[in-house]
Amino acid sequence: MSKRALDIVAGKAPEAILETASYLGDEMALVERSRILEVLQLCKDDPELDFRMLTDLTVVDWLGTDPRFEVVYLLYSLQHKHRLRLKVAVPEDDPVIDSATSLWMAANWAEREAWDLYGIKFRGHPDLRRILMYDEFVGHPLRKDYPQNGRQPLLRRPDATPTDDETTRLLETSHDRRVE
Amino acid sequence: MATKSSIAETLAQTYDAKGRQAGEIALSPSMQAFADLAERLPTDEVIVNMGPSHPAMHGTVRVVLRIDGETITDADVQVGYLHRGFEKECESSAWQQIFPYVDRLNYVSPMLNNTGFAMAVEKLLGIGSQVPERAEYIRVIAGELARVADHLTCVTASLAELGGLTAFFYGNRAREHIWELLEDLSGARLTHSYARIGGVAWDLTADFEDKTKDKVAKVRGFISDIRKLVERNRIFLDRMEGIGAISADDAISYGMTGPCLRATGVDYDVRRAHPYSVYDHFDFDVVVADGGDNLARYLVRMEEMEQSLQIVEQALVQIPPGAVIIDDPIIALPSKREVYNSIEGMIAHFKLIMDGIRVPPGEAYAYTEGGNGELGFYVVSDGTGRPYKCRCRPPSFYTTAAMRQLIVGANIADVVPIFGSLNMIGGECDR
Amino acid sequence: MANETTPNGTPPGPTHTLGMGLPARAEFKPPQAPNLTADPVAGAETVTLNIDGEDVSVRPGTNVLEAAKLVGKDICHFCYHTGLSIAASCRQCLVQIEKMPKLQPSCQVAVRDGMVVHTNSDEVLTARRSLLEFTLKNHPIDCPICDKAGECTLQRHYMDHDHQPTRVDVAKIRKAKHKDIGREIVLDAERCILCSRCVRFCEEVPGTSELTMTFRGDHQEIDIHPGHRLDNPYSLNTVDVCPVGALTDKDFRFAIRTWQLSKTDTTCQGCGTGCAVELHTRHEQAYRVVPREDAEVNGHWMCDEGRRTYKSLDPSKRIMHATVDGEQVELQDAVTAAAEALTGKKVAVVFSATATNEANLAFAELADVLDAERFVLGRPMGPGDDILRDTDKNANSAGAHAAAGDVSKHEGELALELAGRAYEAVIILDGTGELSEVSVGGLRGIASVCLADHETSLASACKIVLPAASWAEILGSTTNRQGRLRMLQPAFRAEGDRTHRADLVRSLLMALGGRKVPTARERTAALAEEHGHRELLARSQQQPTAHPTLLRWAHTRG
Repeated sequence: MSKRALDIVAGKAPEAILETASYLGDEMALVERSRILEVLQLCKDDPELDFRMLTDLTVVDWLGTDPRFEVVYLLYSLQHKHRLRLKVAVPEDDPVIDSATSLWMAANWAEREAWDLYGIKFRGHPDLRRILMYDEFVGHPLRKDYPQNGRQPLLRRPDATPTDDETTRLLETSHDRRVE
Repeated sequence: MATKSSIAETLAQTYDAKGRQAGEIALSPSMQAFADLAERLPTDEVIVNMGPSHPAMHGTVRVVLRIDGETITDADVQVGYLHRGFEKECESSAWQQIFPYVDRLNYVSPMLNNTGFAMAVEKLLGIGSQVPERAEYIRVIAGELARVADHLTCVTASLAELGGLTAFFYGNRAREHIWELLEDLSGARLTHSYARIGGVAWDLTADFEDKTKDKVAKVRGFISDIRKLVERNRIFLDRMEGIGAISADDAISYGMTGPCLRATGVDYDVRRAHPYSVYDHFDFDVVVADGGDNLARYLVRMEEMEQSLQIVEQALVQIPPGAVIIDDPIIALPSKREVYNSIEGMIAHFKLIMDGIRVPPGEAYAYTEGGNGELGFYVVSDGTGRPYKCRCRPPSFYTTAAMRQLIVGANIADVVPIFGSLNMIGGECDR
Repeated sequence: MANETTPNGTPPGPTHTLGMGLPARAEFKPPQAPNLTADPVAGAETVTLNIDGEDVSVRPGTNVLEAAKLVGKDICHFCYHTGLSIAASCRQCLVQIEKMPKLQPSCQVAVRDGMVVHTNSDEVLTARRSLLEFTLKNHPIDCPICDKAGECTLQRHYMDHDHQPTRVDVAKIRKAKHKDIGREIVLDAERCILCSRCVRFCEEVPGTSELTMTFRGDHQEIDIHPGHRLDNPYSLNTVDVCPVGALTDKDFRFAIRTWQLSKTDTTCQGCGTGCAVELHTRHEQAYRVVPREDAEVNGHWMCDEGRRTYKSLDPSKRIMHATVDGEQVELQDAVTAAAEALTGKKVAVVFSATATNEANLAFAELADVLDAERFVLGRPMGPGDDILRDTDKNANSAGAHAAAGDVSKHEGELALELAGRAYEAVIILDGTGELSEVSVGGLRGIASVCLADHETSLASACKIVLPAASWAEILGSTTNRQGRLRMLQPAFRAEGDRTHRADLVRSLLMALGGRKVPTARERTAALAEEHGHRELLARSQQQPTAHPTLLRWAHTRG
């Protein structure tokens, strides 16, 4: 079933689809970054495809290869009951891709999460800010070069009273300071 | 001087000559002047913060409301207070070490998470069809009991927030029955870590079937008691009917699945649409309601509980004897007798624990019907014993994304029942 | 004199011997591996054979096992080792070769044109399983207490090839357990699988032949010759070649589990040979050093002294912050104080034969700016031989002398001149050199600056101490006695104020004159490019991170 969907997509947008694959029953296609919005629009609007649900949007960080990131879209059609996995390769020095918020409202929060945890910018997103981490967080934690127990700079309210030496000493010697 | 009867008379009127609504008391002149002054005062929009430390914002969510009087003009739903770095932890744990982590995702129905993750890894390993049937049945029984617990939590907690505490206590007692059963099975009431890659950890206890039948009857009793308490209650219906309505199209666009989607009329249930495990052996209905409002979601959940209990009863009858885990020594741990008495068992145990199960490189997406909708696991393996990426597709994340649309335009008092009926589980939403 | 090049091209080293009367340095040749690698040499004769349906061309004279490695097939084996002679005693590497009636040990059979080899046929798989079963039948259930667990070849082969339950229902044979056979080694005869790698090693590499096989059949064991001890200076290599936990390192015994360790590829700092090693660490503690294969320098081996160099990385003795007159100050203040202390005075600049090339080159610039007198300091010489150990126990004598230029002054002269109050200020690149009491006494009263990474008597005698990062915390290079550039990689993050020596000297230079001075990383990149060291060049161009690989997922040992 999904194989047919993959064939239709590959047939209707041949220049945008760089590669197709089928692994363990999942159909996936590698899409060119500049044409992703076009392909997503096709997937959503075409009656034979009818991918009305964006099931998930996530990113895989292949540290050490170029392009480094892979944005993965999982699409589902309630009517035809087929699924498709679209992948877009995004390089590290230019981590920008078009936002899918105009097509599915689910993309709003999913893209905010991708920005928060991986640092991928979505062009055209109405409100691209952190969603899971706090605002003053430094870095993008799910990237492979962010250590598993990384430390963050301590935040202080400007009007807070300074701590005494004993507290400073306790703060500095507590916690697990080791970094993997 | 206003006497009791004159107040009663005034209250009984629906509209008086001046066009004022029922219950509006005629004020003394000074009070009337005060009321007129108050009406002329400008009302600014106020920004009010709800949560994250709020008894009704369970799962810790912060909603920043911009209100005009009682009406909400804008809202910002801020999640992430329970973010514990599930994916990052998975990347440095062996495959079988992830079961305790997935337990803590949707912590009110942990068995469903266990099953979902196990299925994803089994898909990557290619052993999906080799999981013994008895193990599949056990997963279904435990999973459906967990689903009942999940729906009970959602319904009774939101009833408690509405003020119906009795239903909350009934629901807790029913959940205790379920947790006792699962504690007998796995050793823990809530965080079971009972599933394994290739099956489940150990077999059912000898008296499990009898106990389950007994407790299922008791749970049914409690569910019916809750329904009787609540479904004809004026306050309940006023606060749930028509509140927080979402259209089917919007729900699909938000990626909503599960009871929230089925309450809008879309009959998408992964167990029926893409049957997995042994769900195609059971006779159960997919519960769908119309309207997409709080009441619809409530009704869907209540009826789903009944369907889940029916599945449990059917499974107990159909369950075959046999092994409960795949018989492959490089995937399943050998028995303790072998481990302590032979070097082969010792080596197998050692390497499986230390190196993890060697999953061939590749990726897979396996989806199940979780308590809140399509719970999917997208796992990527690089050939070593740990995942390269283990992504949980959290159904309540996408459900909570719709919350803003639901509460804008509603009153502050409606936020609580709307949020309660969406069943946002913090562990799953924030991971 | 120190600047003459010896005829075979090795760069000069310190010629003073501190009166130890040792012979002149032997000409160094890396140990040759007796088993040829299979890669065919361009233009030379090759032999073509077919392994599992794939054709491969190899050098004539290689064995089938090495040829199979070329096509990515790792035939399991115990007794074969690329660096040792062939015994073919374990029979684990049996393969089926067409036109030969019985299964053949692939480590022993030399390739022939047109040979067809099957490594995975049913007969071969049955043989493999049976051999493993035999090996395991008397193996003690020691995994929970065995140091080798996690990097054990027996464990790995069982999981990859056997995974059958046991058929043994009788008691296993008992042999000597935890027997002390040497200065560094403990023998557990029950775990031994009698591959004889250790026996062959002791015979072939150090040439001392202390170990032997005794008895026969089920009761056969490895043992030390009566009255002897396993005391040769390369004894710990037997622990590396042993596929199981029969021979274990006393120092590492029960210290830590191998899967908790992270490994970093770096260079031994024990002597001028600069063997390629892996440093195994966990968090801020180092646990051991093991050799890496490097055909041009150390083959597969390293000496025991080099393995103990990790002990100098004691985290409790690390200097974290700069001190002036014993009081802790901010690093920038200390640098400014040092610049003031050195300006306008007669300065002695002491290079270090244990510091990196980058540090020494930066120091050379400093010496130019200060127009100072140059000295080179290092560790005293020690015993050496013609296998691997160098008498010069400094890892970078060549680099220090190349940077310092035409200098002949060492510890003795420094001591005399300091005592004679010849200098008003002295700056020492590495506080781990050994200065006699006279020199340390001569430091009193004059301005002295030291870049030290851990507490030594020399560091405490200096007025200003700048915290330097040790060799395990930096990306850098040293030059070994063959003139090769050797790579150092960081295994720990430099905590506190600890900085690369070259970067400390850079801030000093900028405080003195403010010229454009290259950073340590830039110097490393330049050196790597000059010597054609691709790996170091790649590392120096990446962002600075300490990312040792966790052994647990690396599957590189055992």
